[in-house]
Amino acid sequence: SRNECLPAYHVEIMDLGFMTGAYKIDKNNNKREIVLPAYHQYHFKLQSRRKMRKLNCQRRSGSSSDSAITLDNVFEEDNYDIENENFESNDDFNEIVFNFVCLTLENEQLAYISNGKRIMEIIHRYYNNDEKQTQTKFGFIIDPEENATQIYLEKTLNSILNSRAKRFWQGSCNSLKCLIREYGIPNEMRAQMWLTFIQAKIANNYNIAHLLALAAETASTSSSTEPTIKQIDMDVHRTMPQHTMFADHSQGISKLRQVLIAYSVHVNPVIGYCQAMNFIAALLLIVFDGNENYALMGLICVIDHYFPPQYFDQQLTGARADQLLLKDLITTRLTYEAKKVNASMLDEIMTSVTLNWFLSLFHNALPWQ
Amino acid sequence: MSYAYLFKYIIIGDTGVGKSCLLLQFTDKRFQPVHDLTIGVEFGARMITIDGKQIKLQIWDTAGQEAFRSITRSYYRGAAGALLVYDITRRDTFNHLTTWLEDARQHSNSNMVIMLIGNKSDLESRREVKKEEGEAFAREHGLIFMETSAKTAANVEEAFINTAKEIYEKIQEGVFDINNEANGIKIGPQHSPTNTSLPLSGSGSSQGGGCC
Repeated sequence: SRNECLPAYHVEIMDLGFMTGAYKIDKNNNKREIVLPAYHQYHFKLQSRRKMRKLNCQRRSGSSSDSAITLDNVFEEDNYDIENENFESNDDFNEIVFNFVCLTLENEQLAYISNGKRIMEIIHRYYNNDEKQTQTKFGFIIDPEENATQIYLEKTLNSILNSRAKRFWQGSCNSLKCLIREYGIPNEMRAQMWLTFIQAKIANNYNIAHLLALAAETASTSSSTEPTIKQIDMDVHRTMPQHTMFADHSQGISKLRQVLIAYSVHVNPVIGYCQAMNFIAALLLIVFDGNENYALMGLICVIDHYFPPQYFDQQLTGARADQLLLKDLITTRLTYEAKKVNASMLDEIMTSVTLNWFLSLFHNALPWQ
Repeated sequence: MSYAYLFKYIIIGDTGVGKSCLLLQFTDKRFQPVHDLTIGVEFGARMITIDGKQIKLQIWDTAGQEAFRSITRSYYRGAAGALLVYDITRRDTFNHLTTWLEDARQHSNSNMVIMLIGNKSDLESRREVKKEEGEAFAREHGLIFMETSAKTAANVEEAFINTAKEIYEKIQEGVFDINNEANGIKIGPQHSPTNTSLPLSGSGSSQGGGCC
């Protein structure tokens, strides 16, 4: 029997960075359902016919023991075909299965896969192994409904990441910037490297411990009707609640609250608190393993030193400017896609999808790896 | 899927009143007690039937925080219906209704149907705003009114559907210009009215935008 959840995976590099999308496939009617944000589906539809059919997997030649199938050996050659009468000969569906195969099976010999049945067996094995997993490596609690998809995502991304990390350490480029842009920072190094970058940017210009102490005082003394505090209090419970660190009554929530109050009341009261900062602060807390000192430093660094000054102001001036720029880029660079939607639809897509990316630093649009 | 009409809705109101939960309850029939807050605008859709006709509701759920109003304002213009939501357990969300309403009236087309919603009716013990006050506000400003609970689903269907009924009646009365998409109404592929020759059917989504 076909698994109840048959996700497919799609990875693509475009102007905006590293894009991913995943689908859940209904076993009864092959209906696809998007798992990641809607933009990906939109993007997938537009891109799939043009690009995905060309994708091909090839076993890595030269590597001895494991024949890892990663993005490395996904070539643009149109000679691989999944012959399978069990699937409806529906182009989209085949493409999805195809991508799934390309990207999932790090340790499987793709060369042996000649039909869909074999693929299904492997997929089953993949899921059944980890049925009891309750949270992801990055701490997100898994919704049982999405369990298989989550495990799948985690595994796929890990496999991609492992190969990236491997190359990172082998160092095929010589500058750090080049390494990071090319391969990303390996997970185990992320906290340390972020901290180094943050310290390089803001040096010792802030007395972090003092700011946090002030925040703790503000948090306990100021009236809960003070608008900023009130807003923060409301929002800390709506910030990644699916993460163990920010589950109900957890310590993470009070740390998050303290960091946000420190920034918006004591560091930069002109900008104050704007929704989306909560996600950035939470992301930093997760990366820094709950260290509120580092998280506050990171937040100051990102909001005051990385973003332009008006980015999070009362009109979201900077964020809106970015949307206009991006819109410009989309219409000039992605002419094929831009023609598919009319101007007002493009605006809708931009505000409902991309604004979120820019304000909260892609926290829910890109994989955690 | 084919539909006779498509209505665009916008959900507005203070932050934390339950806008996203109302949408989720309506589109997915479930309540998510913990969820991420909304940044910018989110989107949902569902098919309903009115007067034997399939109507697709396309719903834009907006962020409530002040700073985001500069962005969400642009959504009023293309909406046929608005759900203005307050939280019956927080008096200030009720007090802000006037500002929301002014904003909505100023930026929307004049025929937009506005439904006032007092949400979280399941939290009777923490109630700060009486039902009568909501009714009075609605009467005074010409809105439809309902108390709902996104948690128990009470009145959620009704809120969305009654708004659609009102829009539908306005279409029947000829109040809405259904050929102007800027009004937030679109005619479905299988339902071109006989008195128009506009090629609205079939390729609706790839049409050039409305007036703006």
